[in-house]
Amino acid sequence: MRKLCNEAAVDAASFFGSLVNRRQFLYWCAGVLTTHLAACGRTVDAPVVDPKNQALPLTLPIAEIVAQAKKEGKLRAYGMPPGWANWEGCFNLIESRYGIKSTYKPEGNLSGAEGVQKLISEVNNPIADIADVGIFGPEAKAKGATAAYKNSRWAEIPAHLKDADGHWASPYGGVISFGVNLAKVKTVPRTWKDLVSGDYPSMVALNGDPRQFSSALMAVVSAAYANGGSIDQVEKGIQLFAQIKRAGNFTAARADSSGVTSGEVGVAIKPDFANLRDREKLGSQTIEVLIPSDGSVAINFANVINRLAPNPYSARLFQEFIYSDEGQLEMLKAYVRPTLIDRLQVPADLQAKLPSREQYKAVIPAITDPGKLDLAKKVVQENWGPMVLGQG
Amino acid sequence: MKSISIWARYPWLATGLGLAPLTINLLLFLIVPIALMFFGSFRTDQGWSLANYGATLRSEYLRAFINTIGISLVTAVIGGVLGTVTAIVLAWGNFPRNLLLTLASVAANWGGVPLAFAMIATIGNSGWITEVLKGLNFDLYAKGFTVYSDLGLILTYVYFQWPLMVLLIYPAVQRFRVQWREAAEGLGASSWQFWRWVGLPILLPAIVGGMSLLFANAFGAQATAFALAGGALNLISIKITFLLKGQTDFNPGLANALSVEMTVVLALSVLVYQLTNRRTRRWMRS
Repeated sequence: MRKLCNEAAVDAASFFGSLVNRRQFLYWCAGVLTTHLAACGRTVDAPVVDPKNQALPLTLPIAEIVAQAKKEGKLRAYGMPPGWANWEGCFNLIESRYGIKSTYKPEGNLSGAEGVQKLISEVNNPIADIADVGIFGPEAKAKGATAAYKNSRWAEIPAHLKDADGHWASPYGGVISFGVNLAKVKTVPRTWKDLVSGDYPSMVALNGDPRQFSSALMAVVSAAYANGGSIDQVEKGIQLFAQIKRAGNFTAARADSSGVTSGEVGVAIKPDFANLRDREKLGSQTIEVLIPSDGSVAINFANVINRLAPNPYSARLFQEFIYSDEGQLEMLKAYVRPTLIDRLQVPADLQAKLPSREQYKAVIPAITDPGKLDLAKKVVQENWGPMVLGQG
Repeated sequence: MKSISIWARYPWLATGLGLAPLTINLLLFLIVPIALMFFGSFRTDQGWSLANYGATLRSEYLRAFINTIGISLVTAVIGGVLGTVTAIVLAWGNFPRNLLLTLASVAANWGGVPLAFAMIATIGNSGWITEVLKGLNFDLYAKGFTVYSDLGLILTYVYFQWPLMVLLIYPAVQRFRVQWREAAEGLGASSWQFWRWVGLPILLPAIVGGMSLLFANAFGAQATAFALAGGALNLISIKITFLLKGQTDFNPGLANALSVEMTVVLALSVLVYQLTNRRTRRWMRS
């Protein structure tokens, strides 16, 4: 009850934050009407235990999962939009093979934090089976939103990309990269230091503010490694960005697809998959994608099963699928980096579209320790404005 | 016996039916959200407390408040002055004013993401004006200008504040009677004296009122600023966005507290408008 009302209050705040935006206001109205007001009237403090949701074992034979999942015939996902990790391809394959119809578009754009919040607030009326929660895997577990399940390739997943108890794992990730617009930039920067010393007037941009977006935060962490720091000394990364700014090379323009396409941004610092998608759109003679050799941190995206998933077997079947070679290759088509890529036979034509394997050798493994991440966030939150943007 | 119409028998029925949609609308989408926001601002993980308001006093948020108020004031004053002058010229000049007023109402309502992108396409790093100036050997960005800054935001806001002021003040200017001017001239007043002692005092309440609405308009805006430069702008509405839509920070209680504080500022500026409006109407009775 409290949480639901609180969520409505969240919406209220976001509404007042955007008084002038009428379209948002309409969405907001629809949202409040359909979910919160109805929910606030109910008491939701004690979760109802649905017999179907009694804890399933940590592992299950594939045949049983398939048989039961076919009976369920449905799957609902949060935070998994069609194009992101080629979820559309994955869900389509699952539908054609097992007859399981997935609903993933309506809540596709939920962020990791929003997804976790929604799972928790829906304890009495669970809706989703699975969710992509970004870097919030440990938090989802801590808040009791997840079910433990270890898929049949669990042992092959690197230890830092999974929860020891099976509550979350990362099927894919990305690596911080430079997307260089060859039409705007004469000398292609290969390192973070190049961004300071080179001539890139108002061209170097992040995709969003590191105080808001986790991939931008990881770009700052990458810069920290390049500048002699680490996740424990993220201020070194902020200092490097301050140097880029002082050299006149930094721009607060957003390095999203439109920023790169319009030429506002000459060097887009964002995950490899995002830069590779720009390259696919604009052509490899316009965009070069490279991994900076002096510091690049991997980022990971955790997938979880809802503790109260209405379709628990379909949720587990989905996990089996995305860690299979077939599922991993399907995701690679959207340029996200499958977790088991080193054990994967990548077709030559797909491999040709990726930066060379050598470039990934020095990549710093994804940081999943919540304590270290929280500290880094705090340092960036306090220092990014004053040190890089000149705010106060 | 002659039947009496149901409307005639129950006159309140028509009134009630007519007002019901708006009442329900306001209740559901204004009163309830404000209440939820208000109560939400006192909630923390540890229960009810004033901790969220305590957190809003952090220097980060104070600076954002000061900056937001500053930018809103600057755009209100620039838009207000330009708008007033334009309205006077429009009302007293001799040209197709309806066309210009229509255009002004289009521009006044043009904001948000499209406007931000239009500004970027015009005076961004590779905007067309930037490129033209570069061709004339004047490099805006090398001189330190950037559209992704407070100055860029002020230019963007003035784009809609100016025509909005024209629309707000036009009725007052229009009712300004030519006789007042003739009377002043007849008594030997110079043009400056007329404006100093007659024109401006009469228009002043309308100008201040219009500016207070412009202030509220800029103060509450989020979409335009966020699309223009996101976190590079130290605005309170952008801080709230970070707290609600952040992948690294998520604190709805604090966002609610900041929103309540914003609402107080907005309410004050609307109050100023109401007060000035009373004075404006005193002179504008026709």
